[in-house]
Amino acid sequence: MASTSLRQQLSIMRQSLFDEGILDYEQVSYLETLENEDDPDFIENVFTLFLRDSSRYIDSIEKALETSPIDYPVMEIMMYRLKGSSASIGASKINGETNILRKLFHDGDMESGKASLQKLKAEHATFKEKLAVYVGMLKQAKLSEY
Amino acid sequence: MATHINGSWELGAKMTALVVDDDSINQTIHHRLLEQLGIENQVARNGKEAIDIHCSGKKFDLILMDRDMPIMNGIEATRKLRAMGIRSMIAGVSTRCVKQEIQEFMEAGLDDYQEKPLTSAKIISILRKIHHSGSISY
Repeated sequence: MASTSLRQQLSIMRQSLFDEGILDYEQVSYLETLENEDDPDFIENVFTLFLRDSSRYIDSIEKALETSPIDYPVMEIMMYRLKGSSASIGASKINGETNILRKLFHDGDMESGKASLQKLKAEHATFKEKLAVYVGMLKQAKLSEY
Repeated sequence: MATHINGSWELGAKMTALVVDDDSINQTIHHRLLEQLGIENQVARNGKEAIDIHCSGKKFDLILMDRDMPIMNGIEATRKLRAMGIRSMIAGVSTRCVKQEIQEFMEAGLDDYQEKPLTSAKIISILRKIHHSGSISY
């Protein structure tokens, strides 16, 4: 009973992440097909990795911007990593904001770039909060089945 | 060698692959993706590690090469592998979509290029090229 209720909550949360555009339905559905008895925690592991690494990438971008002179090579690498990993896990909004950020810095618009970075950070904070809850529920649901 | 029979892949002798990517998320996803396709694979964190793995005597049917990596990027690593005589299928994998940048990567010695995110369908399209080009030789 508890397991069914938890599964229903999980399903509702999953759908809301798609409806809010936080996660891309196609990419997440695809990742879910990669999970099986050989790797039963694949989705949680990938999401947890992204939660960890994306924070590091954003911190590194911010630090690189604050150095004098600005560390453009580091910024470039971190933005590409964030772009790539967000695309791979279906983090649509993060991916979108990263693309905007890259373009602004490439165009030399530093003021808009800095504002965009703040927007990315805010988006990321929301994403982290919601995804952490979802990952927690995923773990709970699996535990309740044993 | 991979053979396409009745709409699905039949892998004869176990295919091998090397995932070259500095990002832990992509390493995890690409490793799992290949595993699910029955392709034995290992991960290198940058171009230099990929070179070192080959210098140790290991060879692979397929190399998935990320473009942007620290220490040695995918362009340099691809050039070096080709200069070493490595004839494996090397597929560049990147988020870059500017034609010039893709061209630069291709000219380093790639056989194929795929934009991230990678999927089984994209891997299979690469595998078809291995199949069509005949037996794999090192």
